[in-house]
Amino acid sequence: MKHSFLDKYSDLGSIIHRLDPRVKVIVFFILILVIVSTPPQELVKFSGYFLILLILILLSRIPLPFIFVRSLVIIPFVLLTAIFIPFFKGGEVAGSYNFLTLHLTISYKGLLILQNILIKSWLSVLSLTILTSTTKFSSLLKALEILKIPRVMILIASFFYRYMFLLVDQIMKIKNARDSRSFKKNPLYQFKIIGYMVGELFIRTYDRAERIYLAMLSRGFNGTIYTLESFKIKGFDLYFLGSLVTIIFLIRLRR
Amino acid sequence: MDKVVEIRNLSYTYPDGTPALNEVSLDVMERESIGIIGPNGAGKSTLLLHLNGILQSENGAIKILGMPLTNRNLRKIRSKACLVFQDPEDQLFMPTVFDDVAFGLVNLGYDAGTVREKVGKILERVDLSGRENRSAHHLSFGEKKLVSLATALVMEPEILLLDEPTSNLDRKERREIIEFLQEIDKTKIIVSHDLEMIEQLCQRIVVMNRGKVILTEDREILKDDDKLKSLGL
Repeated sequence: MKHSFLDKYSDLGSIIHRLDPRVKVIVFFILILVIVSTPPQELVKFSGYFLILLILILLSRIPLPFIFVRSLVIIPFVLLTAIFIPFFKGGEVAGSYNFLTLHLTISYKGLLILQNILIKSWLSVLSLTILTSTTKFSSLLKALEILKIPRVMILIASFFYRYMFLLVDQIMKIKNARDSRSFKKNPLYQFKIIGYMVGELFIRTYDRAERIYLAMLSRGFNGTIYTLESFKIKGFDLYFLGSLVTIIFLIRLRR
Repeated sequence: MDKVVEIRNLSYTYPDGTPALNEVSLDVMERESIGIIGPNGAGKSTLLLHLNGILQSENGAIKILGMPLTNRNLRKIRSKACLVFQDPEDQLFMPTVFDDVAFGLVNLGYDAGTVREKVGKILERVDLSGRENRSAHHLSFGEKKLVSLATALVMEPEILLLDEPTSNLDRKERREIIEFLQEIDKTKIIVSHDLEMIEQLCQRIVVMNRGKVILTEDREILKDDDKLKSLGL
């Protein structure tokens, strides 16, 4: 089975794709920091950041719908945690409602916080989506490694990326095996089966991890994974880095 | 000819109490190809894991290229006796093909230039140049098997330890792997159920059952069906 759901479009050849991965990581990191630190009422600045991201997407030639749909994944999680804030903040009341004995009030301050969280989280995820869609995952890991992100985290991500697809394949296989022999539609019984499937998957994964470790040992693994650096920074990379960071700060610091 | 592998009275029991090897003794000569066959659970793969020092038993002794298999010699031995696992998904664990093939070399401490050169050469030899930056996940099964072989061959070992090199391959991929292995002029110890392949590649056959070597014979034995049947094969 073929999957490519993590870094789909990462092998297009636009100028954004060809940038040095380290430069991209730094630029997007700075952009996210700046986005997060912008005061909540400054909607013009947020529009500015959005405009930058939009231009980057257009330059990268990745289909707009793809990027936007993917960047929306985070919204349900944010909503789930932030939706109640307007009800609990004090200050000027925007509206109040009575449900039987329940008295609810929504404050402007709370609404502003909710809006702030939504805008910032969406813009941040949009940035990350562009980063991961224009950079091969392996290059991204290497860039992070060079930028001194702790090795353990990189290793976890690296193994996760390598074996996630295999795990999905395995789930599909177990699911097919179940469906081909499953006749009872009783939901309670189905839950029991899912329990067994999860257990089976855990054991298989554990065994696999054991075998991978043996394979690593047999090729001289001694606790640290070393990889070769393979990036060369070009003039254009520096130009891109300099100009984009300048623009971002100009927007941020404008009065 | 020199003995490159000497196994003396090797016994091993897995930590959970399952006995796996029972008083195994075996010599392998330089540039000899040995086929280890036997039913599932006979201890073939367990024996292979011992030859690379991944499993170590206190009962019995192993010498590889004259070096006793001890923790002190482990690094040297692992660079000279390379193991290729049956499932390429276990063998290939890095994000890209290049990183996978380079893994052993980098661990041995080669400099970047040499690593790149060696990896390039070996990938050319298995006809997979240009796939360096691919994820192993995006290769066909046959290609994965070839890359697995490359991860060991790139270290230029003297002994190749192969666990089921032809399992799950289609006819064409299987033929290619066999032809490729025929060209490799090194000591090979091959564990497999694929008797046709063993006949093509190995001069000497070792039959194992229940942790014991029950027979060491010339490859002619593979033509004797009744004999094989009587050995539980």
